[in-house]
Amino acid sequence: MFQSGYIINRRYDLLVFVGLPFLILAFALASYNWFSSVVLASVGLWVTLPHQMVTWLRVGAVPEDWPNYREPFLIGMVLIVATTLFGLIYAPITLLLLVTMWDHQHALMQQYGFSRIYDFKAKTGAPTTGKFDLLLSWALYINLFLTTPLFTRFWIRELNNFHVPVSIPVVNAVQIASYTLLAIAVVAYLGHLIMSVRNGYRINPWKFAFLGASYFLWYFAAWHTDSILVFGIAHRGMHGIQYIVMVYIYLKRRFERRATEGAKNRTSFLTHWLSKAFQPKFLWMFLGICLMYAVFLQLLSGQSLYDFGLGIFNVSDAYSKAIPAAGIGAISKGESFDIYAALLINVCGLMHCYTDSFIWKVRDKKVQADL
Amino acid sequence: MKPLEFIKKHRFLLTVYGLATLIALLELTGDFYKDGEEPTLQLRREKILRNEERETIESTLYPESASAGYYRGRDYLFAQPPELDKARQEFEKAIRRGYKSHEMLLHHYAVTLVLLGEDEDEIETAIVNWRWNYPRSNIAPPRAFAAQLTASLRQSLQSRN
Repeated sequence: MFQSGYIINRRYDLLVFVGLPFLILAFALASYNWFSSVVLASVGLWVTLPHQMVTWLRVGAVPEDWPNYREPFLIGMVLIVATTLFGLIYAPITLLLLVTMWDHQHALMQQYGFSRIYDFKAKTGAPTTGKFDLLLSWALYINLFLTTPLFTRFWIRELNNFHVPVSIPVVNAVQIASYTLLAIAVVAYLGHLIMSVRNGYRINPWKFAFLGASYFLWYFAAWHTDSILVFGIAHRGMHGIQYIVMVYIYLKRRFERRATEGAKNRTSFLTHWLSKAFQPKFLWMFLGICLMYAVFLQLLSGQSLYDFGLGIFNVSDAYSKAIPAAGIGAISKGESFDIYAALLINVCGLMHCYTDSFIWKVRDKKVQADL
Repeated sequence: MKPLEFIKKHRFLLTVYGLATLIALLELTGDFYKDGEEPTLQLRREKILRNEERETIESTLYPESASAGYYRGRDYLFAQPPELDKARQEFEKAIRRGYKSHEMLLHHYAVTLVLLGEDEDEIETAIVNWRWNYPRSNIAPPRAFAAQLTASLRQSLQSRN
Protein backbone atom coordinates (compact mmCIF):
# COMPACT_ATOMS: atom_id res chain seq x y z
CA MET A 1 0.00 0.00 0.00
CA PHE A 2 2.80 2.43 0.88
CA GLN A 3 5.82 3.25 -1.24
CA SER A 4 8.30 5.87 -0.01
CA GLY A 5 10.04 8.22 -2.39
CA TYR A 6 12.03 11.39 -1.73
CA ILE A 7 12.78 14.69 -3.42
CA ILE A 8 16.40 14.64 -2.15
CA ASN A 9 16.79 11.73 0.27
CA ARG A 10 15.24 10.58 3.51
CA ARG A 11 17.39 12.71 5.82
CA TYR A 12 17.22 15.98 3.86
CA ASP A 13 13.50 15.56 3.09
CA LEU A 14 12.83 15.12 6.78
CA LEU A 15 14.71 18.34 7.45
CA VAL A 16 13.69 20.59 4.55
CA PHE A 17 10.24 19.43 3.49
CA VAL A 18 8.71 17.94 6.63
CA GLY A 19 10.64 19.40 9.57
CA LEU A 20 11.25 22.92 8.24
CA PRO A 21 7.66 24.17 8.66
CA PHE A 22 7.86 23.36 12.39
CA LEU A 23 11.34 24.85 12.78
CA ILE A 24 10.42 28.01 10.92
CA LEU A 25 7.22 28.34 12.93
CA ALA A 26 9.26 28.09 16.12
CA PHE A 27 11.58 30.79 14.76
CA ALA A 28 8.57 32.97 13.86
CA LEU A 29 7.11 32.60 17.35
CA ALA A 30 10.50 33.35 18.91
CA SER A 31 10.82 36.43 16.69
CA TYR A 32 7.33 37.48 17.74
CA ASN A 33 8.43 37.45 21.35
CA TRP A 34 12.01 38.64 21.22
CA PHE A 35 12.71 40.53 18.01
CA SER A 36 11.37 43.76 16.59
CA SER A 37 9.13 44.00 13.52
CA VAL A 38 12.27 44.57 11.44
CA VAL A 39 12.75 40.79 11.45
CA LEU A 40 10.07 40.45 8.75
CA ALA A 41 12.11 42.68 6.44
CA SER A 42 15.21 40.64 7.34
CA VAL A 43 13.52 37.38 6.36
CA GLY A 44 12.54 39.07 3.11
CA LEU A 45 16.18 39.89 2.45
CA TRP A 46 17.74 36.63 3.58
CA VAL A 47 15.14 34.33 2.05
CA THR A 48 12.51 35.92 -0.19
CA LEU A 49 14.77 37.94 -2.50
CA PRO A 50 17.26 35.04 -2.96
CA HIS A 51 14.36 32.68 -3.69
CA GLN A 52 13.24 35.04 -6.45
CA MET A 53 16.78 35.24 -7.77
CA VAL A 54 17.23 31.49 -8.07
CA THR A 55 14.32 31.49 -10.52
CA TRP A 56 16.56 33.46 -12.92
CA LEU A 57 19.20 30.75 -12.50
CA ARG A 58 16.63 28.02 -13.08
CA VAL A 59 15.53 29.74 -16.30
CA GLY A 60 18.85 30.81 -17.74
CA ALA A 61 21.81 29.07 -16.08
CA VAL A 62 21.75 26.06 -18.40
CA PRO A 63 22.21 27.28 -21.99
CA GLU A 64 20.34 24.32 -23.51
CA ASP A 65 17.25 25.04 -21.34
CA TRP A 66 16.94 28.75 -22.07
CA PRO A 67 15.34 28.41 -25.56
CA ASN A 68 12.47 26.44 -23.98
CA TYR A 69 11.63 29.29 -21.62
CA ARG A 70 12.71 32.33 -23.66
CA GLU A 71 9.38 33.22 -25.25
CA PRO A 72 7.07 33.01 -22.19
CA PHE A 73 9.78 34.61 -20.06
CA LEU A 74 10.25 37.64 -22.33
CA ILE A 75 6.54 38.11 -23.04
CA GLY A 76 5.81 37.85 -19.32
CA MET A 77 8.57 40.32 -18.45
CA VAL A 78 7.32 42.95 -20.91
CA LEU A 79 3.71 42.54 -19.78
CA ILE A 80 4.50 42.49 -16.07
CA VAL A 81 6.83 45.52 -16.18
CA ALA A 82 4.38 47.53 -18.32
CA THR A 83 1.32 46.70 -16.23
CA THR A 84 3.20 47.31 -12.98
CA LEU A 85 4.15 50.81 -14.13
CA PHE A 86 0.58 51.42 -15.24
CA GLY A 87 -0.78 50.04 -11.97
CA LEU A 88 1.54 52.15 -9.84
CA ILE A 89 0.25 55.31 -11.52
CA TYR A 90 -3.40 54.59 -12.26
CA ALA A 91 -4.61 51.53 -10.36
CA PRO A 92 -2.56 51.01 -7.17
CA ILE A 93 -5.32 49.14 -5.33
CA THR A 94 -5.60 46.64 -8.19
CA LEU A 95 -1.83 46.25 -8.28
CA LEU A 96 -1.69 45.52 -4.57
CA LEU A 97 -4.51 43.02 -4.92
CA LEU A 98 -2.82 41.35 -7.89
CA VAL A 99 0.50 41.01 -6.06
CA THR A 100 -1.17 39.63 -2.93
CA MET A 101 -3.51 37.19 -4.66
CA TRP A 102 -0.88 35.94 -7.09
CA ASP A 103 1.45 35.35 -4.17
CA HIS A 104 -1.22 33.20 -2.49
CA GLN A 105 -1.87 31.23 -5.68
CA HIS A 106 1.86 30.80 -6.18
CA ALA A 107 2.34 29.54 -2.60
CA LEU A 108 -0.34 26.89 -2.85
CA MET A 109 0.86 25.81 -6.30
CA GLN A 110 4.41 25.36 -5.00
CA GLN A 111 3.26 22.96 -2.31
CA TYR A 112 1.02 21.22 -4.86
CA GLY A 113 3.96 20.96 -7.27
CA PHE A 114 6.22 19.43 -4.61
CA SER A 115 3.48 16.93 -3.74
CA ARG A 116 3.41 15.93 -7.41
CA ILE A 117 7.19 15.44 -7.33
CA TYR A 118 6.72 13.06 -4.39
CA ASP A 119 4.33 10.93 -6.43
CA PHE A 120 6.62 11.12 -9.46
CA LYS A 121 9.70 10.07 -7.51
CA ALA A 122 7.97 7.22 -5.66
CA LYS A 123 5.95 6.15 -8.72
CA THR A 124 2.83 6.33 -6.59
CA GLY A 125 -0.72 7.53 -7.15
CA ALA A 126 -3.23 6.86 -9.91
CA PRO A 127 -3.20 8.80 -13.22
CA THR A 128 -5.96 11.08 -11.86
CA THR A 129 -4.23 11.74 -8.51
CA GLY A 130 -2.78 15.03 -9.76
CA LYS A 131 -6.27 16.46 -10.30
CA PHE A 132 -7.40 15.37 -6.84
CA ASP A 133 -4.23 16.81 -5.28
CA LEU A 134 -5.00 20.10 -6.98
CA LEU A 135 -8.62 20.02 -5.81
CA LEU A 136 -7.55 19.36 -2.21
CA SER A 137 -4.86 22.05 -2.30
CA TRP A 138 -7.26 24.69 -3.60
CA ALA A 139 -9.98 23.69 -1.12
CA LEU A 140 -7.56 23.81 1.82
CA TYR A 141 -6.01 27.12 0.80
CA ILE A 142 -9.29 28.86 -0.07
CA ASN A 143 -10.67 27.75 3.28
CA LEU A 144 -7.55 29.12 4.99
CA PHE A 145 -8.08 32.41 3.22
CA LEU A 146 -11.81 32.70 3.86
CA THR A 147 -12.08 31.47 7.44
CA THR A 148 -8.97 32.41 9.41
CA PRO A 149 -9.05 35.68 11.38
CA LEU A 150 -5.84 36.93 9.79
CA PHE A 151 -7.16 36.68 6.24
CA THR A 152 -10.82 37.38 6.91
CA ARG A 153 -9.78 40.88 7.88
CA PHE A 154 -7.87 41.19 4.60
CA TRP A 155 -10.70 40.24 2.27
CA ILE A 156 -13.27 42.25 4.21
CA ARG A 157 -10.98 45.28 3.85
CA GLU A 158 -10.47 44.73 0.13
CA LEU A 159 -14.18 44.23 -0.59
CA ASN A 160 -14.77 47.35 1.47
CA ASN A 161 -12.22 49.19 -0.70
CA PHE A 162 -14.20 48.21 -3.77
CA HIS A 163 -17.44 49.41 -2.17
CA VAL A 164 -18.83 45.86 -1.89
CA PRO A 165 -21.10 45.81 1.17
CA VAL A 166 -20.07 43.09 3.61
CA SER A 167 -22.12 42.32 6.70
CA ILE A 168 -21.66 39.76 9.47
CA PRO A 169 -24.33 37.39 8.05
CA VAL A 170 -22.52 37.56 4.67
CA VAL A 171 -19.16 36.72 6.30
CA ASN A 172 -20.75 33.85 8.23
CA ALA A 173 -22.43 32.49 5.09
CA VAL A 174 -19.15 32.66 3.13
CA GLN A 175 -17.31 30.82 5.89
CA ILE A 176 -19.97 28.09 6.21
CA ALA A 177 -19.89 27.62 2.42
CA SER A 178 -16.10 27.37 2.56
CA TYR A 179 -16.15 24.69 5.30
CA THR A 180 -18.80 22.76 3.36
CA LEU A 181 -16.76 22.83 0.15
CA LEU A 182 -13.65 21.76 2.07
CA ALA A 183 -15.55 18.84 3.62
CA ILE A 184 -16.75 17.78 0.15
CA ALA A 185 -13.21 18.04 -1.23
CA VAL A 186 -11.75 15.99 1.65
CA VAL A 187 -14.41 13.27 1.24
CA ALA A 188 -13.79 13.20 -2.52
CA TYR A 189 -10.04 12.96 -1.91
CA LEU A 190 -10.40 10.12 0.61
CA GLY A 191 -12.70 8.33 -1.85
CA HIS A 192 -10.07 8.73 -4.54
CA LEU A 193 -7.35 7.38 -2.23
CA ILE A 194 -9.42 4.32 -1.35
CA MET A 195 -10.24 3.66 -5.00
CA SER A 196 -6.59 4.09 -5.98
CA VAL A 197 -5.41 1.58 -3.38
CA ARG A 198 -8.12 -0.88 -4.41
CA ASN A 199 -6.95 -0.55 -8.01
CA GLY A 200 -3.41 -1.44 -6.96
CA TYR A 201 -1.84 2.04 -6.85
CA ARG A 202 0.44 2.88 -3.96
CA ILE A 203 0.62 5.86 -1.64
CA ASN A 204 3.75 7.86 -0.82
CA PRO A 205 3.49 8.69 2.93
CA TRP A 206 6.10 11.43 2.51
CA LYS A 207 3.77 13.39 0.28
CA PHE A 208 1.15 13.51 3.02
CA ALA A 209 3.71 14.29 5.73
CA PHE A 210 4.91 17.18 3.55
CA LEU A 211 1.41 18.51 2.81
CA GLY A 212 0.37 18.06 6.44
CA ALA A 213 3.38 20.01 7.72
CA SER A 214 2.87 22.81 5.16
CA TYR A 215 -0.82 23.30 5.90
CA PHE A 216 -0.19 22.99 9.63
CA LEU A 217 2.17 25.95 9.37
CA TRP A 218 -0.32 28.07 7.42
CA TYR A 219 -3.36 27.21 9.53
CA PHE A 220 -1.52 27.53 12.84
CA ALA A 221 -0.01 30.90 11.96
CA ALA A 222 -3.27 32.28 10.62
CA TRP A 223 -5.56 30.87 13.34
CA HIS A 224 -3.57 30.93 16.54
CA THR A 225 -1.70 34.16 16.19
CA ASP A 226 -3.10 37.56 15.47
CA SER A 227 0.08 38.57 13.81
CA ILE A 228 1.12 39.37 10.26
CA LEU A 229 4.65 39.11 11.61
CA VAL A 230 4.36 35.43 12.57
CA PHE A 231 2.52 34.45 9.40
CA GLY A 232 4.87 36.50 7.24
CA ILE A 233 8.04 34.98 8.72
CA ALA A 234 6.69 31.43 8.74
CA HIS A 235 5.20 31.59 5.26
CA ARG A 236 8.10 33.38 3.61
CA GLY A 237 10.63 31.21 5.39
CA MET A 238 9.05 27.91 4.41
CA HIS A 239 8.22 28.94 0.85
CA GLY A 240 11.57 30.55 0.16
CA ILE A 241 13.91 28.00 1.72
CA GLN A 242 12.13 25.01 0.19
CA TYR A 243 12.23 26.66 -3.21
CA ILE A 244 15.91 27.58 -2.96
CA VAL A 245 16.76 23.99 -1.96
CA MET A 246 14.62 22.65 -4.81
CA VAL A 247 16.33 24.83 -7.41
CA TYR A 248 19.76 24.03 -6.00
CA ILE A 249 19.14 20.27 -6.14
CA TYR A 250 17.57 20.47 -9.59
CA LEU A 251 20.37 22.52 -11.11
CA LYS A 252 23.04 20.45 -9.36
CA ARG A 253 21.63 17.33 -11.01
CA ARG A 254 21.08 19.18 -14.27
CA PHE A 255 24.71 20.35 -14.45
CA GLU A 256 25.94 16.88 -13.52
CA ARG A 257 23.86 15.34 -16.32
CA ARG A 258 25.06 18.04 -18.68
CA ALA A 259 28.66 17.24 -17.85
CA THR A 260 28.15 13.54 -18.55
CA GLU A 261 26.50 14.41 -21.88
CA GLY A 262 29.71 16.11 -22.91
CA ALA A 263 28.24 19.60 -23.12
CA LYS A 264 31.44 21.09 -21.70
CA ASN A 265 32.66 22.15 -25.14
CA ARG A 266 29.67 24.46 -25.50
CA THR A 267 30.17 26.00 -22.07
CA SER A 268 30.70 29.73 -21.80
CA PHE A 269 32.77 31.32 -19.06
CA LEU A 270 29.61 32.34 -17.14
CA THR A 271 28.03 28.88 -17.38
CA HIS A 272 31.27 27.31 -16.23
CA TRP A 273 31.27 29.42 -13.07
CA LEU A 274 27.57 28.99 -12.47
CA SER A 275 27.92 25.22 -12.75
CA LYS A 276 30.63 25.40 -10.08
CA ALA A 277 28.20 27.15 -7.73
CA PHE A 278 26.06 24.02 -7.83
CA GLN A 279 28.82 21.70 -6.67
CA PRO A 280 28.60 20.92 -2.94
CA LYS A 281 32.16 22.13 -2.23
CA PHE A 282 31.25 25.50 -3.75
CA LEU A 283 27.96 25.88 -1.88
CA TRP A 284 29.33 29.10 -0.40
CA MET A 285 29.46 30.54 -3.92
CA PHE A 286 25.77 29.77 -4.47
CA LEU A 287 24.86 31.32 -1.11
CA GLY A 288 27.10 34.30 -1.92
CA ILE A 289 25.26 34.92 -5.20
CA CYS A 290 21.95 34.80 -3.29
CA LEU A 291 23.20 37.28 -0.72
CA MET A 292 24.73 39.65 -3.28
CA TYR A 293 21.43 39.77 -5.14
CA ALA A 294 19.59 40.74 -1.94
CA VAL A 295 22.17 43.42 -1.11
CA PHE A 296 22.04 44.77 -4.68
CA LEU A 297 18.22 45.05 -4.72
CA GLN A 298 18.14 46.55 -1.25
CA LEU A 299 20.61 49.25 -2.23
CA LEU A 300 18.91 49.80 -5.60
CA SER A 301 15.60 50.46 -3.86
CA GLY A 302 17.28 52.93 -1.51
CA GLN A 303 16.58 50.80 1.56
CA SER A 304 18.87 50.37 4.52
CA LEU A 305 21.27 47.45 4.95
CA TYR A 306 20.18 47.63 8.58
CA ASP A 307 17.22 45.41 7.57
CA PHE A 308 19.62 42.45 7.27
CA GLY A 309 20.20 42.52 11.01
CA LEU A 310 16.85 41.10 12.27
CA GLY A 311 16.39 44.37 14.12
CA ILE A 312 19.07 43.33 16.63
CA PHE A 313 21.77 45.69 15.44
CA ASN A 314 20.07 48.97 16.13
CA VAL A 315 22.72 51.65 16.34
CA SER A 316 20.17 54.39 16.73
CA ASP A 317 18.93 52.85 20.01
CA ALA A 318 21.78 54.37 21.94
CA TYR A 319 20.99 57.79 20.51
CA SER A 320 17.21 57.61 20.45
CA LYS A 321 16.71 59.36 23.76
CA ALA A 322 16.68 63.13 23.93
CA ILE A 323 18.78 64.96 26.53
CA PRO A 324 16.53 67.94 27.36
CA ALA A 325 18.93 69.35 29.98
CA ALA A 326 21.62 69.79 27.32
CA GLY A 327 19.15 70.89 24.65
CA ILE A 328 19.95 67.81 22.57
CA GLY A 329 17.11 66.08 20.76
CA ALA A 330 16.84 62.44 19.69
CA ILE A 331 18.61 61.75 16.40
CA SER A 332 16.56 61.77 13.22
CA LYS A 333 16.04 58.85 10.85
CA GLY A 334 18.52 60.30 8.38
CA GLU A 335 21.18 60.79 11.04
CA SER A 336 20.58 57.26 12.27
CA PHE A 337 21.16 55.90 8.77
CA ASP A 338 24.32 58.01 8.40
CA ILE A 339 25.70 56.54 11.62
CA TYR A 340 24.89 53.05 10.41
CA ALA A 341 26.51 53.63 7.00
CA ALA A 342 29.61 55.13 8.63
CA LEU A 343 29.76 52.18 11.00
CA LEU A 344 29.74 49.70 8.11
CA ILE A 345 32.66 51.48 6.45
CA ASN A 346 34.54 51.82 9.71
CA VAL A 347 34.16 48.12 10.51
CA CYS A 348 36.22 47.45 7.36
CA GLY A 349 38.52 50.22 8.54
CA LEU A 350 39.08 48.40 11.83
CA MET A 351 40.52 45.42 9.95
CA HIS A 352 42.85 47.85 8.15
CA CYS A 353 43.94 49.35 11.49
CA TYR A 354 44.53 45.94 13.04
CA THR A 355 46.35 44.38 10.05
CA ASP A 356 48.70 47.36 9.74
CA SER A 357 49.70 46.80 13.34
CA PHE A 358 51.57 43.57 12.46
CA ILE A 359 52.52 43.68 8.76
CA TRP A 360 54.76 46.76 8.95
CA LYS A 361 57.26 45.76 11.61
CA VAL A 362 60.51 47.32 10.46
CA ARG A 363 62.43 45.06 12.85
CA ASP A 364 61.12 42.05 10.93
CA LYS A 365 63.92 40.79 8.66
CA LYS A 366 61.47 39.59 6.00
CA VAL A 367 59.90 43.03 5.83
CA GLN A 368 63.31 44.73 5.78
CA ALA A 369 64.30 42.74 2.68
CA ASP A 370 61.74 44.49 0.48
CA LEU A 371 61.77 47.90 1.98
CA MET B 1 2.17 31.81 -34.35
CA LYS B 2 -1.64 31.72 -34.77
CA PRO B 3 -3.73 33.75 -32.29
CA LEU B 4 -5.43 30.65 -30.84
CA GLU B 5 -2.09 28.93 -30.40
CA PHE B 6 -0.72 32.06 -28.71
CA ILE B 7 -3.72 32.21 -26.34
CA LYS B 8 -3.38 28.52 -25.51
CA LYS B 9 0.33 28.83 -24.85
CA HIS B 10 0.02 31.91 -22.64
CA ARG B 11 -3.38 31.18 -21.10
CA PHE B 12 -2.15 31.44 -17.51
CA LEU B 13 -0.64 34.90 -17.94
CA LEU B 14 -3.66 36.04 -19.96
CA THR B 15 -6.08 34.76 -17.30
CA VAL B 16 -4.20 36.54 -14.49
CA TYR B 17 -4.01 39.82 -16.38
CA GLY B 18 -7.55 39.45 -17.75
CA LEU B 19 -8.84 39.31 -14.18
CA ALA B 20 -6.53 42.15 -13.13
CA THR B 21 -7.84 44.27 -16.03
CA LEU B 22 -11.43 43.76 -14.89
CA ILE B 23 -10.54 44.81 -11.34
CA ALA B 24 -8.54 47.77 -12.64
CA LEU B 25 -11.56 48.89 -14.67
CA LEU B 26 -13.62 48.85 -11.48
CA GLU B 27 -10.95 50.91 -9.77
CA LEU B 28 -10.56 53.36 -12.66
CA THR B 29 -14.29 53.95 -13.04
CA GLY B 30 -15.09 54.04 -9.31
CA ASP B 31 -14.59 56.80 -6.77
CA PHE B 32 -11.51 55.89 -4.82
CA TYR B 33 -9.60 57.72 -2.20
CA LYS B 34 -5.92 57.35 -3.05
CA ASP B 35 -2.83 58.51 -1.26
CA GLY B 36 -1.44 61.73 -2.62
CA GLU B 37 -4.78 62.93 -3.94
CA GLU B 38 -6.92 65.60 -2.37
CA PRO B 39 -10.18 63.75 -1.69
CA THR B 40 -13.52 65.49 -1.75
CA LEU B 41 -15.27 65.82 1.59
CA GLN B 42 -17.94 63.37 0.41
CA LEU B 43 -15.31 60.74 -0.52
CA ARG B 44 -13.57 61.23 2.78
CA ARG B 45 -16.83 60.79 4.71
CA GLU B 46 -17.69 57.67 2.73
CA LYS B 47 -14.29 56.17 3.43
CA ILE B 48 -14.55 56.88 7.14
CA LEU B 49 -18.02 55.33 7.27
CA ARG B 50 -16.86 52.26 5.35
CA ASN B 51 -13.85 51.86 7.64
CA GLU B 52 -16.09 52.14 10.70
CA GLU B 53 -18.36 49.43 9.28
CA ARG B 54 -15.39 47.20 8.56
CA GLU B 55 -13.94 47.63 12.03
CA THR B 56 -17.33 46.91 13.61
CA ILE B 57 -17.58 43.68 11.60
CA GLU B 58 -14.03 42.66 12.55
CA SER B 59 -14.58 43.44 16.22
CA THR B 60 -17.88 41.54 16.27
CA LEU B 61 -16.40 38.50 14.53
CA TYR B 62 -13.24 38.40 16.65
CA PRO B 63 -13.93 40.42 19.82
CA GLU B 64 -10.96 38.95 21.69
CA SER B 65 -8.46 39.66 18.93
CA ALA B 66 -5.69 42.18 19.49
CA SER B 67 -6.85 44.29 16.53
CA ALA B 68 -10.34 44.59 18.05
CA GLY B 69 -8.67 45.67 21.28
CA TYR B 70 -6.68 48.26 19.36
CA TYR B 71 -9.83 49.67 17.70
CA ARG B 72 -11.54 49.99 21.09
CA GLY B 73 -8.45 51.61 22.65
CA ARG B 74 -8.09 54.04 19.77
CA ASP B 75 -11.77 55.04 20.03
CA TYR B 76 -11.31 55.74 23.75
CA LEU B 77 -8.17 57.75 23.03
CA PHE B 78 -9.77 59.95 20.38
CA ALA B 79 -13.13 60.32 22.16
CA GLN B 80 -14.05 63.82 23.28
CA PRO B 81 -13.17 63.93 26.10
CA PRO B 82 -10.73 61.00 25.85
CA GLU B 83 -11.16 58.04 28.20
CA LEU B 84 -7.48 57.46 28.75
CA ASP B 85 -7.65 54.77 31.44
CA LYS B 86 -9.89 52.62 29.29
CA ALA B 87 -7.66 53.28 26.26
CA ARG B 88 -4.62 52.20 28.22
CA GLN B 89 -6.35 49.04 29.42
CA GLU B 90 -7.31 48.01 25.87
CA PHE B 91 -3.87 48.82 24.43
CA GLU B 92 -2.10 46.89 27.17
CA LYS B 93 -4.32 43.88 26.61
CA ALA B 94 -3.52 43.96 22.87
CA ILE B 95 0.21 44.40 23.52
CA ARG B 96 0.17 41.45 25.94
CA ARG B 97 -1.03 39.35 23.00
CA GLY B 98 2.22 40.34 21.29
CA TYR B 99 0.53 42.40 18.60
CA LYS B 100 3.73 44.15 17.56
CA SER B 101 3.00 44.07 13.84
CA HIS B 102 0.61 46.99 14.29
CA GLU B 103 2.61 50.17 14.53
CA MET B 104 -0.26 52.41 15.58
CA LEU B 105 -0.98 50.24 18.62
CA LEU B 106 2.55 50.73 19.99
CA HIS B 107 2.51 54.41 19.06
CA HIS B 108 -0.93 55.19 20.51
CA TYR B 109 -0.08 53.32 23.70
CA ALA B 110 2.92 55.60 24.22
CA VAL B 111 0.73 58.63 23.42
CA THR B 112 -1.82 57.48 26.01
CA LEU B 113 0.88 57.19 28.67
CA VAL B 114 2.13 60.70 27.85
CA LEU B 115 -1.40 62.09 28.13
CA LEU B 116 -1.92 60.25 31.41
CA GLY B 117 1.25 61.87 32.73
CA GLU B 118 2.68 58.50 33.69
CA ASP B 119 6.13 57.91 35.11
CA GLU B 120 8.89 59.08 32.70
CA ASP B 121 10.56 55.67 32.67
CA GLU B 122 7.32 53.96 31.70
CA ILE B 123 6.71 56.48 28.91
CA GLU B 124 10.28 56.16 27.66
CA THR B 125 10.01 52.35 27.62
CA ALA B 126 6.82 52.56 25.52
CA ILE B 127 8.42 55.06 23.13
CA VAL B 128 11.58 52.98 22.76
CA ASN B 129 9.45 49.87 22.13
CA TRP B 130 7.61 51.68 19.32
CA ARG B 131 10.86 53.05 17.86
CA TRP B 132 12.63 49.70 18.19
CA ASN B 133 9.93 47.94 16.19
CA TYR B 134 9.53 50.76 13.66
CA PRO B 135 12.91 52.50 13.41
CA ARG B 136 12.00 54.28 10.18
CA SER B 137 8.49 55.36 11.11
CA ASN B 138 7.13 58.59 9.64
CA ILE B 139 4.56 59.25 12.35
CA ALA B 140 5.11 62.16 14.71
CA PRO B 141 6.87 60.95 17.90
CA PRO B 142 4.43 60.18 20.76
CA ARG B 143 5.25 63.28 22.85
CA ALA B 144 4.73 65.62 19.88
CA PHE B 145 1.62 63.69 18.84
CA ALA B 146 0.20 63.95 22.37
CA ALA B 147 0.84 67.70 22.38
CA GLN B 148 -0.97 68.09 19.05
CA LEU B 149 -3.87 66.00 20.33
CA THR B 150 -4.18 68.08 23.50
CA ALA B 151 -4.09 71.30 21.48
CA SER B 152 -6.78 70.15 19.06
CA LEU B 153 -8.94 68.93 21.94
CA ARG B 154 -8.59 72.29 23.69
CA GLN B 155 -9.48 74.05 20.45
CA SER B 156 -12.57 71.94 19.93
CA LEU B 157 -13.71 72.52 23.53
CA GLN B 158 -13.20 76.27 23.13
CA SER B 159 -15.17 76.35 19.89
CA ARG B 160 -17.99 74.43 21.60
CA ASN B 161 -18.09 76.91 24.47
